[in-house]
Amino acid sequence: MTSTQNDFLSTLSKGKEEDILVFYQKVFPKVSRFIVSNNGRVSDAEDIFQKALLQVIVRYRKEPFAIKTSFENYFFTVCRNLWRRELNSSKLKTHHLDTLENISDVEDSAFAIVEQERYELFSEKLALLSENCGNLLSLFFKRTPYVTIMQKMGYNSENVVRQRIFKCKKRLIELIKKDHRYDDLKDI
Amino acid sequence: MMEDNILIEQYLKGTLTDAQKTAFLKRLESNAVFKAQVQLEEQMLAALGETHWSFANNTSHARVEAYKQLLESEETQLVKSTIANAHEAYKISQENKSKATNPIFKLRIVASIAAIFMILISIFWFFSTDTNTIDYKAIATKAWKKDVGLDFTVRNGTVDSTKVNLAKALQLYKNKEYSQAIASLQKYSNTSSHYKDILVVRALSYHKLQKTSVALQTLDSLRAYTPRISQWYKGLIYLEKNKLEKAALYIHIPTKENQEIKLK
Repeated sequence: MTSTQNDFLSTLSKGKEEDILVFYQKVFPKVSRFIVSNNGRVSDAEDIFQKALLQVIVRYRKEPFAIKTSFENYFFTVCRNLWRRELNSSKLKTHHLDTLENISDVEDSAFAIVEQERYELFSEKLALLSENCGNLLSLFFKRTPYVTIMQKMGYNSENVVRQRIFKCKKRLIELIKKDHRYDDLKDI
Repeated sequence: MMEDNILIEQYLKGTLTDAQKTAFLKRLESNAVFKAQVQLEEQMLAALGETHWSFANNTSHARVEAYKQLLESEETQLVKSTIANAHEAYKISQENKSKATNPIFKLRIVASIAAIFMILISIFWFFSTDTNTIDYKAIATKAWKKDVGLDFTVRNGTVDSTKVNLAKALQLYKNKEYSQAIASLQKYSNTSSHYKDILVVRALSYHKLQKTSVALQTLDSLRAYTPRISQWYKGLIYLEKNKLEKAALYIHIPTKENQEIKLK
């Protein structure tokens, strides 16, 4: 993390209104455009933006953490994930309302934070793999059929693709398990 | 026998046969290492797959508990209200910006200067002026007190057990025993009589327990039976959460102090 990003995150975590306002002016339009173009409304973008800000500040206050990209990009990913979570949770509620009945707003926010931490651990390790493995697994996680991956990546058979994905996934799992954060996040 | 990696993949894709799935679930129950492996692969698929999301559900986990405490702390509540204030300030600055760049607005400025003169004169004619600050909290409290949809009564000697239980649940709700109110209505489903009233008591109890998303979801279910009551409470809940834009989708929010909230 560059010192500028570090300073910015640390400044924001102090929770001063003027710093938050400057950040709003800089980043909210981009988040709003993304949510509105993905089945949301401006009011949804406002909710997500506020939740993301609170999440980042609370996390940083608990344990200062490092980010390897620009803070704006990082924050946008947090918002994008919260929106993905929101869309998927609406789907879940439609079918499994009973299982979600006992979750309070605070609990839900706590879950959203650990889920983001888990996402960061997984994506960080995915980025450490070779370019070929990274591309293969990205397609695999997007549930792309083996035949399409075969054609796209120029493999001779689906079986070769399957074996290659298995090896890459095994390497990814090893990297994830070696990281100390995994122990903290695995049973959540 | 199928290799584990293929087996897990087919399970996550939902392509196992019924017999294979039964055996798979049985193995999950009895083999902790296998269960952890499946869980990790499931989480990776959901988290890195863009269209899905990997939800956590272990409420008693130490990390979740630590975040819950932090989120409930006074300092976090303070940050929350600072964020809300910054949000309001941002909205006002955006409104002013769009007005300033609008040519019609520039013409309006000229007209406004002329109008100021008229306003100054008119001030002399009024002994008091309306305040622009509306106490939404007070207006909302008044609206909540109307107890819309909670007017079901039970006559002495009634044999309708659902209605009797409903009245008891309402009493629990009024006594602020919200969890008990919900528990007392748990056995009822959409085939029960008075289901509309059951949903109202459930939704309001969830709201009071700060389980906002479940309260709103329950009100969505209520919409099929009585859209007006569903709309009324969704509006009030959003208003209470200070989400005026969302509240305005369901209710008319007063623009003057002496007005009341009305349904849209």
